[in-house]
Amino acid sequence: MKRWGLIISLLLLVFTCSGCVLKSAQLKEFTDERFLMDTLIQITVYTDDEQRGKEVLDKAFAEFERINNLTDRFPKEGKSTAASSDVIRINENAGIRPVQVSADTLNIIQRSLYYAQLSGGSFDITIGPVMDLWGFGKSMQHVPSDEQIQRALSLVDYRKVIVDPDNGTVFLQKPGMSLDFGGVAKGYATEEAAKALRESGIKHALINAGGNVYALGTKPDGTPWRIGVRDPRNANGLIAVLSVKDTSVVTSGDYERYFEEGGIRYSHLIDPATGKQARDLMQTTVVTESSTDADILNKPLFILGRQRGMSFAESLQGVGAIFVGADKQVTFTGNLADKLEFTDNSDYQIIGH
Amino acid sequence: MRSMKNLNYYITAGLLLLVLVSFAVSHLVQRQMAEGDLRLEIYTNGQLYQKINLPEASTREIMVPAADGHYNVVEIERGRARVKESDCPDQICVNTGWVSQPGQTAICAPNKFNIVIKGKPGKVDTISY
Repeated sequence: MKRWGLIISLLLLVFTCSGCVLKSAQLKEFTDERFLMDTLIQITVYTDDEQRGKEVLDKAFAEFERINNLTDRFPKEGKSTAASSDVIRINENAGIRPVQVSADTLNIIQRSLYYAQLSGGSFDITIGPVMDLWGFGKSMQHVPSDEQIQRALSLVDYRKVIVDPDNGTVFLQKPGMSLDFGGVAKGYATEEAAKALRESGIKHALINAGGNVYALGTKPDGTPWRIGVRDPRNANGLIAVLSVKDTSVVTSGDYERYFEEGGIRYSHLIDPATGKQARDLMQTTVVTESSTDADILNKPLFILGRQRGMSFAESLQGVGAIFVGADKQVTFTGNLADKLEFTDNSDYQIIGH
Repeated sequence: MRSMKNLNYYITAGLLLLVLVSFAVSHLVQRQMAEGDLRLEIYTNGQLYQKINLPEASTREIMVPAADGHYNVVEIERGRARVKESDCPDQICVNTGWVSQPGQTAICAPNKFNIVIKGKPGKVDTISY
């Protein structure tokens, strides 16, 4: 009789072992990456069928392509102006006439104006003339004169963007004004791609759009996705790890798009109030459900700096944030405490919240 | 009675063997994954251009041509790599600096070029940067 007990327990052991193997064999991982929106977009999905895996990946990338075609600021070589983006047409008609745009463009602009207002203008999609002056998005980057900056700044004002939702039109009131979706388009596209994956029945996926991460569902084993946050002064290191599901993690910093002149670093994170670089922080990370919001919110948080940025983040529902100061002190919002682990990176001092 | 007992022995022995085999197999699979050495993969236009085993790599530079006469230069040292030079306008790939951990990448969007470190799964699934 004892023997039967042994046999049963061995049988159980065999079944549980084969059970694990069977379960993980059902869902397979499919990954693809493509250059879109001036960066590398990586998407990983889990599904049981290879054909389906390929189809849903194509669908998700198609969303990035669609949003890119609507929001590109510079005309593509060999493309006619008739095929140009909503943003190009809006900018070309600044001070002239309202322009009919797609529902997506309208969504992006309304969301952007909402946060422009909420942050007192520290996020502003009419920053185009200032970005052009510094040369971001073009080939020659250089430090402009104060006079040039003042002239460009006179064209920056989100309150002069007139949206008519009923007619689906957008109008920039002053000639020379231009929209720049650099701080929102990738986030919006990520959100649309995630929507497409969900509608296709995908339960587990990871999108990384040039550092803008969206974690769809959990990992296939039911545990949260683990998203590393880059060390702002060492591409080889991490400063923290976030465990999340159905959440966006978006990081901005002064270490990717920048140039140096006279030994000083000039990043693309420019304060719409001064036309110059914000220098209180070297990195911000926003953790929230919507990728659009996460992408947008990094800019006002970075521009506002550690203290005012923290107050702004705490005033928003369901938004977590990590701030890395130029002094290498790290602070974060209290709602991240259970999702956040810091790596033992001795270059930084964790202050808390 | 006696043959019944023998049958029990066979069943027990058979099951034990099964358990041993399954443990051995899973152990081997895990070991193989752990040994999946760190490697550098160089991509142009999303296509694999070259694969280099990093722990064994000697110091060298690789000039990788891109479309329309553009180029990127990858510098490799034992265990790490970086984009040393690029004729792209934004220099984001060069600014990224050295990479050595699985999942880390340096991207040159203008030249549609990227390098990525592959290897045994790291402690994170992806990196926000």
